[in-house]
Amino acid sequence: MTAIRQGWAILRKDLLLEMRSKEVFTSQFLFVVMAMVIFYFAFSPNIKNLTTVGAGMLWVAITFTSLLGLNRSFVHEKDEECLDGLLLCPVDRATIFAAKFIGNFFFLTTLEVIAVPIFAFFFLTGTFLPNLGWFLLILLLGNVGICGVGTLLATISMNTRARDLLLPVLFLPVMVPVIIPMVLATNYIFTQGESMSELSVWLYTMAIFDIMYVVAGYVLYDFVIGD
Amino acid sequence: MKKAVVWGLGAVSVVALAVSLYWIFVVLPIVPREQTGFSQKIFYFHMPAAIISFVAFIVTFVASILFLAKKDFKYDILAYSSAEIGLVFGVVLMIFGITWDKLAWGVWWTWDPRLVTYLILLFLFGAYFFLRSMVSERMKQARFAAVFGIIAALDVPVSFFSTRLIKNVLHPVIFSREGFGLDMNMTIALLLAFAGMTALYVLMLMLKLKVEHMMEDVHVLKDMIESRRD
Repeated sequence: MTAIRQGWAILRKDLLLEMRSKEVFTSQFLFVVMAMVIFYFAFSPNIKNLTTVGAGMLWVAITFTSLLGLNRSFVHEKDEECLDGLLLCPVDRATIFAAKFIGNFFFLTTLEVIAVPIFAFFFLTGTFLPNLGWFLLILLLGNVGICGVGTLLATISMNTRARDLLLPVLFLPVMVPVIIPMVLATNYIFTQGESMSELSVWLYTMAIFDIMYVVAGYVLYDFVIGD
Repeated sequence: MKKAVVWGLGAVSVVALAVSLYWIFVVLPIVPREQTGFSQKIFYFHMPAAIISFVAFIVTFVASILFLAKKDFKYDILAYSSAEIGLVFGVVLMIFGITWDKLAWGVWWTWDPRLVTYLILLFLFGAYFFLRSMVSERMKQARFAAVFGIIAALDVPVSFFSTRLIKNVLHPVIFSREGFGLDMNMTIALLLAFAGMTALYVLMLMLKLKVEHMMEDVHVLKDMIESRRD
């Protein structure tokens, strides 16, 4: 119970900070919408039906937007010396990871609640709506993978000379085994629209990597936080 | 004793690779055009290089875990030395693969599952060294590199099993439960090249470890001298 209360205190701090400043949400929202507009101009000369590239566009936009949020979740901790204060408290480091992971997951999911309908409005035809449940499951699994490994890698990158410059270099190759099945599964939903039997392989792959990355983050966080 | 081992490994490597070259270019016939013709001979160096690079990255994975458990820098030195040699074998492997691709099918690159996952693996270990260069303090550098080394090495099974899970043309499965897909002469050539490259990897790792341990000793001595000056 103590660990849950401690984790909740850390999570509540991050949620309150974001609700008062709205820095991360505003910048992520503007970024993701602008990215969608740029994708339209990038693909529209050659592709008439943008649903065929919709899955890739969506996940590229979300992946790069998540980098903003992940970086930001640690920059203010480091700059304001909040992290030092946190480390002085008798809190298990894995609890800090869990709280940060849940916070990042919450922020990314909140962003997607607004950004994904905008994306669907711009680019999709609505034939995927009968499979909305599967689509939401893919979003959920994708968010877990992004936030699980992203929280660990953001902590590493914040403690180096390069700081937020290093996170994309570390994060993007690690995310590829999650991004590939995410895009394939999402594309299948957007373009097939009928039997979902082929989704299971991709969903299992994403689930396996999500479990691996979250467990690795939970176990290894003690070695990366603090000096 | 160690000098004898180093010279012995060097000799094994040179002899095995020389004999494998003879076997590949003189003993083995050129396969039919449908099986990529003369360029197929790249396979006998391409596959051992791939296996050895995977082994090198797994050594990094194990050494990283041992470093985090025991906090002994010798494991960190082993981890990054093996990662460096694995990266070298990986780059050589990609050059072999791209060359074979061009000679056999006329294109430099295809988005084959093994090619893509292996390229990502090389990016991961490139990022490993970039991370190391961004941290000055020795213990922090070793800790962060060990954590990232563990995460990066999780891609090794992804790359290895990619050809078994996704059907493709470029990387057919040769060793499976049904047996070997090669005849006796081809197997001999492959084993000779494999033995030579394994000896080369172990030799390079031993020499690299020796140099890195000497560098660590030099740093320790430098620190001692500077602290006495103060």
